[in-house]
Amino acid sequence: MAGSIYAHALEGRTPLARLHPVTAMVWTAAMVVMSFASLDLRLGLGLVVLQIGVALIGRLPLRQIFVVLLLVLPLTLFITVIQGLARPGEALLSIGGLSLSREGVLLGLAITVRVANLALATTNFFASVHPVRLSMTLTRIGLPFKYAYTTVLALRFLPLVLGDLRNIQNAQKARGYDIERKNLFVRVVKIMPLMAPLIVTVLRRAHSIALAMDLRAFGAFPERTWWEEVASPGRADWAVWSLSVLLLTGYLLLGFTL
Amino acid sequence: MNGEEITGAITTRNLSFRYSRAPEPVLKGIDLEIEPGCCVAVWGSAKSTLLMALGGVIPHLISGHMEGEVLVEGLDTHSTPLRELAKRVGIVLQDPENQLFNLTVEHDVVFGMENLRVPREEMGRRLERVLDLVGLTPLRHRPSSQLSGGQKQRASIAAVLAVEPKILILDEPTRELDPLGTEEVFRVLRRLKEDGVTIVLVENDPGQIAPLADRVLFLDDGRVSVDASPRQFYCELREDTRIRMPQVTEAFFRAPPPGEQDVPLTVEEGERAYGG
Repeated sequence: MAGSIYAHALEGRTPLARLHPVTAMVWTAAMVVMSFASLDLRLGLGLVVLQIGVALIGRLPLRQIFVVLLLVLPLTLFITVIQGLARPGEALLSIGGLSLSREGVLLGLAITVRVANLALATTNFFASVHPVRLSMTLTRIGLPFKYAYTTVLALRFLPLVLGDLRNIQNAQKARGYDIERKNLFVRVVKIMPLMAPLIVTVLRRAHSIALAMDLRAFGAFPERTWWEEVASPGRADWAVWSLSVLLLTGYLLLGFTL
Repeated sequence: MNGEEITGAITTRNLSFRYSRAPEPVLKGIDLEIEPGCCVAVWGSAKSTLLMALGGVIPHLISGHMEGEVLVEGLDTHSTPLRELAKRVGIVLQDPENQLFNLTVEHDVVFGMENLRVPREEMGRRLERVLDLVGLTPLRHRPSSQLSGGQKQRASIAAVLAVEPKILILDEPTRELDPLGTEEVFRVLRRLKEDGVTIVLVENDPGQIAPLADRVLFLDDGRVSVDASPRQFYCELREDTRIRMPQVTEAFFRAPPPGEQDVPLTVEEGERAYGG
């Protein structure tokens, strides 16, 4: 978990972790709305720079943020190529009767930047907000605890599921089932038969975790006490809220004029 | 219970249980009285089922047909909500990985207390006490996923103990642990026994069980066929190939020393028996 995004928030490595979780929610909501508000490439790139700047100032794990961006890159490149091929317009590149249009490529790039902005907004959020304090805040604003707790549970459960998948893969590899040395498509096909044992294992694990949670009185009362403490929003929180509103307003205005 | 006074930590009367869709019951008419502060080890078949019934998991969370009654500190598990039972009985399961579902040791330990609305100051006091008890104070902020197997199981025990139950039920707590991890867990159990906690456990390491348990039960075909002290238990079942016993006890039965000697359960007792 040391390498995971939320570890930074958990261990208080970032000054942003000291902000109120609602502040991070407001900022992220503003970033998400801005990402969807315009397909102007310049505005989108400006937002990317802003979010990377926040990550730098907040001492967020830049390397891990870029890893997330790299993960979405193949999909966005695919979208760019598809848009380039499908949209009519001035040809940028022609190969064997197929041509990429300038308009299509620009649109594809704008979508790429949008996806990058969404990825940045969510990774910045999870790197700055302590998951338990997030659950606590969500509960305080009216979400039942059993739903608010899913954030924490998901962060703990997903690595376990990935570990189970690795174990099943290794067990199959030990019996000569080759997964690694094939191309991506074959690999996806090869991984399908592993889904049945994975689902069974995951269901068993989920049942066992649910039992352990019930034994510790999960959901015993509508209200619960908390070990973590979340201080009331301070000046820094108000400043970030104001900045979020200002940026959002300015961005929307620019989006309409450009 | 017809007005009969209950003094046991756990009492069962004619307890039977059949899993849904199973033709035969796995527990058949079990009568038990477990005294407060006593440590009881369970061997044989359907031992986990018995533990789940003693802790109230059956009938609350496992479906099936239960007959008879189980009383935990005088409370009938049938009619008592699980949250009330959770204050009295702590249950530690086999797989430590599945019992640590929070992000750090500290959060796992406080989880039960938070659910039971323990005030924060009290939580802090208990947190420090149980972490000290299981020897995990230096690791309290460590992500649960980064602990060793023995540390994980000790963290699970701490999480259960934080609710301050008087009864601790452990279902093969060392099944997935190496000898070092097993010893770590039993060190904690020995300390808990000294503190007067009632312990009921299923454990396959006879070398650890024999010196710890006051009673050993053997479940055969859903019934308690033997309920005796460890020494008496091994004497009665010495010919039974299903029973594993401490090496020193086995050696004693194979090559008994001259004269009348008590059956040894530990190496130290073995040394004395053979005049070492």
